[in-house]
Amino acid sequence: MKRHDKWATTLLASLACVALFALPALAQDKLFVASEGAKLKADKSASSDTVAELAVGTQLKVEGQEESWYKVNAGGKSGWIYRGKVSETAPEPSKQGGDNLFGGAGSSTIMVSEADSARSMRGLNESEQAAAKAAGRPARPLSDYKSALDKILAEKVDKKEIENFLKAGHIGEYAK
Amino acid sequence: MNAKRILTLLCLCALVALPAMAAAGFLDNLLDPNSKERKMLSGAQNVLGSSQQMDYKSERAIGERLAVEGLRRYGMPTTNQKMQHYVNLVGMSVAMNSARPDIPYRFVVVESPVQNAFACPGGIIFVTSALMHTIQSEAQLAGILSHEVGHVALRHALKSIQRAQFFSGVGQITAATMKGDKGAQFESMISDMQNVLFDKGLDQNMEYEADASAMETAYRTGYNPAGLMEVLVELKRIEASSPDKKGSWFSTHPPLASRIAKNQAQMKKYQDAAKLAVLADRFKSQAR
Repeated sequence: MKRHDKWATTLLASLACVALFALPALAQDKLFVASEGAKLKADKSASSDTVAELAVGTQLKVEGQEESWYKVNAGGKSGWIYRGKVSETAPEPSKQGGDNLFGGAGSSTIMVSEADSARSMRGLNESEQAAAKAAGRPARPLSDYKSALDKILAEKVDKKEIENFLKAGHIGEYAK
Repeated sequence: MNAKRILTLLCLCALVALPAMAAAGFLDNLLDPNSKERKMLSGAQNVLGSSQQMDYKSERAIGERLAVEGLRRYGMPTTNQKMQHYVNLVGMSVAMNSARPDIPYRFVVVESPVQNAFACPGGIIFVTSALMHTIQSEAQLAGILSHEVGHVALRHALKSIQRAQFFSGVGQITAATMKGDKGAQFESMISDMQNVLFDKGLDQNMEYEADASAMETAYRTGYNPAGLMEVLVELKRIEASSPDKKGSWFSTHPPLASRIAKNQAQMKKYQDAAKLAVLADRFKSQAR
């Protein structure tokens, strides 16, 4: 009878342990890269060597956490990643056929339907008259808006510039 | 022997009954039209219903068309190139850590006395010069831009116009598919979207969702996530005396008080927020 009690206690304790610790532990033991430009660093500092550049969606095995950094393993490579670059769930894959973040936005494609027929050109001029009246300004030709939009789309920043910008502001992984 | 049997039975009960009870609760809740579960389900249906056909190029084409309307309605881009480039740097920094980091965003400040910011589908994001004047730090700008990036990432404008029939059969918007009736339907859809973006505003829940997403994005980037809320507080302060309410943040967004309260509640998540970047001085040197 005594042996049974001991067995029961052990089983109950094990069940309690499983219930209390297993689920949270499982939830944290893997993470996914969720940001563009994420880097696996040799140490928990942005100024340490870059072990690898990690693509969005890369699965990471978590080996530890210190301050704002996770110690992780990414496909056999070990290193550190800043907390802002990861999420607990896999990010939505880019199923929409999007360009990448640092890709060129190209020149505007506005709007094929306006540009390809005289009928819709007149339509736009009419709507421009109405828009100008509503905004209390003189009407402009379509080409003004097209070139303004092209200029907006041409305003480009690259990865290196962003990195320097974040570094200069001591932002995120570059915090002092 | 009895103890063993009872324990085995208990374990089995626990294993089988708990998930079953949870599932039964879920199903019951699903039948309640006001339940969280029901809202989640209808949210999923909306996503499938309105955006499954659209590829990025088409989304971008719609966005560019709306961007032209934005320029006509609010004003042309500012000639302050330093400010324009700075806003793009802050915008891209937060977009990298947003829920949709893989499309080319562009940010533009337009000369306008109206306090507003809005996002065209595909990632062209507008901020008016008046709102730039209200903003006092880089963390505040990051909050506003993250809010707009959130709308793009969550495809809010597209979900607002339930024009599934327009998109069905049009995988991509091209010159060929825009001829005739389809072209007319496209123009009518653009007009509906303008109404949503510039006059009526998006659904209130979409605004709350974009706020929550903005705070998360700003925090992940390393900015103090309180920035967005600080701008809302300032907008609330100047709301009464603001002359241009038509087409502004005031007329197209939910009441500021309720948003401020919700954001304040979310701030509890970010225990180390006060240690994060604010950069009021850099903002003033680059955006004035």
